[in-house]
Amino acid sequence: MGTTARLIQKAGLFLVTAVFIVCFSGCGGSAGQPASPADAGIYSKVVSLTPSVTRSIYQLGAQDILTGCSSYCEVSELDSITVSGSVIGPDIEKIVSLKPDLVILSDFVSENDVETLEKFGLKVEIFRSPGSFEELCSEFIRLGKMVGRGKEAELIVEESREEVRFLQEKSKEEDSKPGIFMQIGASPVFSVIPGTFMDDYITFTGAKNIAAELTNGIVGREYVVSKNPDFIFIVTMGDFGDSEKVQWSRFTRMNAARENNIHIIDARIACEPTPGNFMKTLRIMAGYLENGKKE
Amino acid sequence: MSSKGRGLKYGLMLLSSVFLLLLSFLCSLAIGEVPFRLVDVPSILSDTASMEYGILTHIRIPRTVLALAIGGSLSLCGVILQGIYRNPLVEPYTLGISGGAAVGVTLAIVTGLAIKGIPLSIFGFAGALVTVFIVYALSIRNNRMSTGKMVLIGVMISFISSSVVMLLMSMTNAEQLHGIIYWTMGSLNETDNAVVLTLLGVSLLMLASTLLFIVPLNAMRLGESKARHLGINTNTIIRILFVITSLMTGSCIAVAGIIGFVGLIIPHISRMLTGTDYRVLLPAAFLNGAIFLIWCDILARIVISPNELPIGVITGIFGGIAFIFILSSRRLKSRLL
Repeated sequence: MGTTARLIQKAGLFLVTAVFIVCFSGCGGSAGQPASPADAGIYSKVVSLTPSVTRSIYQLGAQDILTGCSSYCEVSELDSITVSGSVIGPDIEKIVSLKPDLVILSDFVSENDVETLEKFGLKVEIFRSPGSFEELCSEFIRLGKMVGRGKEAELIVEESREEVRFLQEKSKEEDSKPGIFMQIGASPVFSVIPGTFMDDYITFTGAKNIAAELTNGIVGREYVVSKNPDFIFIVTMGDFGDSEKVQWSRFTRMNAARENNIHIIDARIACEPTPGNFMKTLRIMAGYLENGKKE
Repeated sequence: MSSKGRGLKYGLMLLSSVFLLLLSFLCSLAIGEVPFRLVDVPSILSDTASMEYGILTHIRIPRTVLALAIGGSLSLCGVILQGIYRNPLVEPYTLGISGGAAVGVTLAIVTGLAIKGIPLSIFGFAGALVTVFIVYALSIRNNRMSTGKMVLIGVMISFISSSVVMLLMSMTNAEQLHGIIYWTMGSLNETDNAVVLTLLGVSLLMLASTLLFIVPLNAMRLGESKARHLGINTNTIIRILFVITSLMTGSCIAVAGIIGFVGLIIPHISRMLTGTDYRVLLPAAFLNGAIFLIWCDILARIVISPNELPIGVITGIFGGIAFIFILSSRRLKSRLL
């Protein structure tokens, strides 16, 4: 065999060997290995920029999986979890550096930011503000399954549903439905309207929302006074609750003012859609309604 | 027409405006979610136990009075500033006062100071004062006020302020963002009667005090140098009027937020109706501004009832359309400055 022929033979052998190595090098480890929990939809390193989801994770006892949270996630303040942005603005570099296997965002975040995170190979899940208690429950269960606490989530949801059914049965015994105005803003006055989970606070207590006909929550004070609500609930975090209570109290012919049924509810509980907070708020409102009727 | 004839004509015009203002006031009291008949208003006011009484005294009367005070004040400020700067595009907000007030309010909301029992209006007024001081200080050269420089500095401060507001808004949460945005759209929903009456008193006082400057303002229509030759100390007059109008504008913004176009468009409409003699123009602008804002408030309440529109939206839309119409009309355009 000549020199050239030998060279060609060696090159060919080398080429075949190289192709063999390239084709089979990626396969050695995969056969027989189980799929990762993330593949099964269970995540162990989660960044949550949605305060209600962060609280839900704590409620499920899965806070150990949290590696990042938003600057508004109060529940995780004491646990030194890395702040990775705000509710509407994720700190993309920070999130990427944490190497999470799941990033949970609210629907306030822009699509551009979501796409950017996905380009880094991160799994992004959007949790929207629920439009009803049932939606809140199904999102809670979805979250529970993601963090490996599906059964716990279903149990919590079932307990909440049971309590809601009890309240609804109890309210059926009442002859009339009191009118409720639930205020969630002061300048301008902003009402809870149907199509939001907060409207269920009103309907589950057996009352009617005086703003039930509205599709936009901004109302004038005159509208509220003309509807003559029996109860006014002012949902607030700040001092505006006290000044609003004073404002409404001046309308002495309004049932809620006359019977002293103007109450303030903490927005940190009422506005954060978790089953725990929902039931807390519902119990508070049901209590006020019960006391109001007795008086 | 003889001067006597002109005097009679303008006197009748002003009387008509007063009558129209009274009618607008009463309509504002009658129109709303719970409609009243005008004839029922006296009986409602005497029945202190009724729900209608509460609506009238705690909602409609305060906001109508506020519309009167603010509409009148902003128009008055606009007509004076347009006369001082001899620029038809100048309005109370051109000097950056609204921007400064917006920064003050936004800072208060974002830092949480606003929820500690201090009214937002205080922060708005403080912000407006800071802007007035900056514009004033930067506009003086060789102990003289440079009107051209004032306008430019005011416009730049407006741009800087809006950028600062956007910066603060980008750092805040959704609830605070909502509050800031709606404040910038303007609202006549002030329920503290003391504030409403104070603003009314101040605006009437301002009207009375500006009537003292009729002669210098009329002289300055000929131009600054000609006014000086007539013996008018234009430097002092401009400073005094600048301070008066700035403080008045700051007060209006502090109470009701930013209500644009009133101070721009009503002076021009008033000039079209009464001419450029400040003896008639000043009271006419005040009355017309009050009427305009009262009707804008009525519209804001009823257009998408039971929801309410921010009043700045109404004044902006109608004011903008009216201004474009005036600029498009050759006959009307000639009656601008």
